[in-house]
Amino acid sequence: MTYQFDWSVLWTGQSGEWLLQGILTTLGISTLAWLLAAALGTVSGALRTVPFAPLRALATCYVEFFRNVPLLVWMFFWYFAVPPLLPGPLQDWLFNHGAEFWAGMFALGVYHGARFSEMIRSGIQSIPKTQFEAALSTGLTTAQTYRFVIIPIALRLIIPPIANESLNLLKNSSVALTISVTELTFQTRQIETYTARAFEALTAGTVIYLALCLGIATLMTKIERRFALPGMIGRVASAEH
Amino acid sequence: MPYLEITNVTKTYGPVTAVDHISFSVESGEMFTLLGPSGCGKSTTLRLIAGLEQPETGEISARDRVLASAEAKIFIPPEKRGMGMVFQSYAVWPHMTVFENVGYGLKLRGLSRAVIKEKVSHILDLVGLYRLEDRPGTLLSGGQQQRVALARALVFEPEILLLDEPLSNLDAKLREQMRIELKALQQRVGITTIYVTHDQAEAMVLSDRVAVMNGGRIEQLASPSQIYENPQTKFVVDFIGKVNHIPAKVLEIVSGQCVLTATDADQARIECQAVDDIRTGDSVIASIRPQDITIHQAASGTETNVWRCSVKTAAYYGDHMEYQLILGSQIIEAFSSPSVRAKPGEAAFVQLDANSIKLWKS
Repeated sequence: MTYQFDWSVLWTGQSGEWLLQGILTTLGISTLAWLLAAALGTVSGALRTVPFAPLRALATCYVEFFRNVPLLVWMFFWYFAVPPLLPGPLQDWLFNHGAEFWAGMFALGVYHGARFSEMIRSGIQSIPKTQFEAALSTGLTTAQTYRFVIIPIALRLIIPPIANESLNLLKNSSVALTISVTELTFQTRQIETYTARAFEALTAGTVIYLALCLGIATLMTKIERRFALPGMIGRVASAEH
Repeated sequence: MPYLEITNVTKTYGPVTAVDHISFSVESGEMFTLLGPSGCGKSTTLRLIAGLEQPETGEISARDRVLASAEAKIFIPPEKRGMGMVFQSYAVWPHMTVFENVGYGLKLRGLSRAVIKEKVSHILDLVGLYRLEDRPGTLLSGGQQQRVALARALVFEPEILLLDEPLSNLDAKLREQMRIELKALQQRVGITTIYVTHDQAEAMVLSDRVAVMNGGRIEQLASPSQIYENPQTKFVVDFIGKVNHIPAKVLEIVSGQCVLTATDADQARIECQAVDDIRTGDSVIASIRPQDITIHQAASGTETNVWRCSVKTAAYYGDHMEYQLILGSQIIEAFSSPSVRAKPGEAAFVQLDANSIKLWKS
């Protein structure tokens, strides 16, 4: 093997700055998209179980529409197809203020929101019906029952799959490079182009993604322990005692 | 004046009629029990009263306020009915402590923290959950969880308490203890209570009145003693306690006394009180409870309703014996004091108490 490794390409010139900026953009777009996905997922997941057919139908439409189209297509759609429909001044404003970032964030958020939604629905449906009825007969309205009893229990039950899906969301943020969001993958590609050092650049990207995901996984495990339902997720709870 | 009035209420699930045009009323402060086997419609009736189901016919009203009426298209949702409900599965909210479980409804009603604390402490004392306020609800034992559920239902001082098989998930010993506590609690609070159970002993101990249900209808509605001593239908006889059914034919009826011959028991003679609609020559069923049959190991002087049988099984329960005896192809169950010790295969004499025999047309 004659390849000469040169890891210094990662910190000489502008590389270090690019990588750092890439990490920040990846974290920024992922965090915002995660918040959007969590909000959309919780609301639509809950609506899919309510005793009112039109709301259930609305939530079902959202889920089926967004989860059944590839993420890449949504990225292109929000970036290339939607802005021309907007009024001229708004278009100009958007393209001066990182339209690609917002389009990418939006695509990522609504796509993963549809996937979160299904997890929340399954969490809610795993709760015995009497929990719901006990709340109603205690005088809570249907909305209060969801807000204070059903959703808090469901969210605690689905922390493991949500952790999994959150990692997917972070990794899928790399697709935003296709609409030129300067996130981590975009920046590693840029370093590769400037230095012709593909191995070093992509290794850096790989290691950084791995570190970010392990960090999130650790955080989610802590959250899972903290919010474990006593007597329901027994193994985790008893491991703590 | 009746407190709760159910009039001609029906509920179907697809082809199954769960509750079939039933009517009854519950008095204020009464402990009223719906008793029956699973699928008899008792839980559905309770859920209709709670507002968890909507009736397809009829009306439910409490103190002149219509809660549900199929005809007038009125339906008050469960959270506006002011009823407390306790479920067989406890349904304690797992993400809350005991205190939060009980006090949450009050908090959402906008009561001050001090008032909530006072009410919750009072009700937890009442149900016997001292110093457990801060424990997670689901880390308690079954009996304690059921007390949490009871406290949660009682804390907002509902006008009616609905109990859906609340003791069925507890072990036998705890069930008996809770039965007594529940009765005492109900009397202390004086709350109108509707109790659903399949356990006749529970119904007997707890209730002022019992409605025995079968196939979505009420078979008999009466006090526990009337239900036991004077069952009106064959179903009620069967369901409440153990009973022997003896197929027989009416030989003659003389001055209110009826003489039968037991068709499966070698045509053995039975004498008992006559019933209005039974005539000479009719085929009937004579029912008698095991405790109304006495067993002798030797023939006694009297001959009436005494049969010579052979012992099939004998079971020792400490405080009593349970026998299965056989005559012809008729099997007779009888309870006796432990002093009678007949062994399987031996002969024994059974005496049927004439006044305890009930006759039904077969």
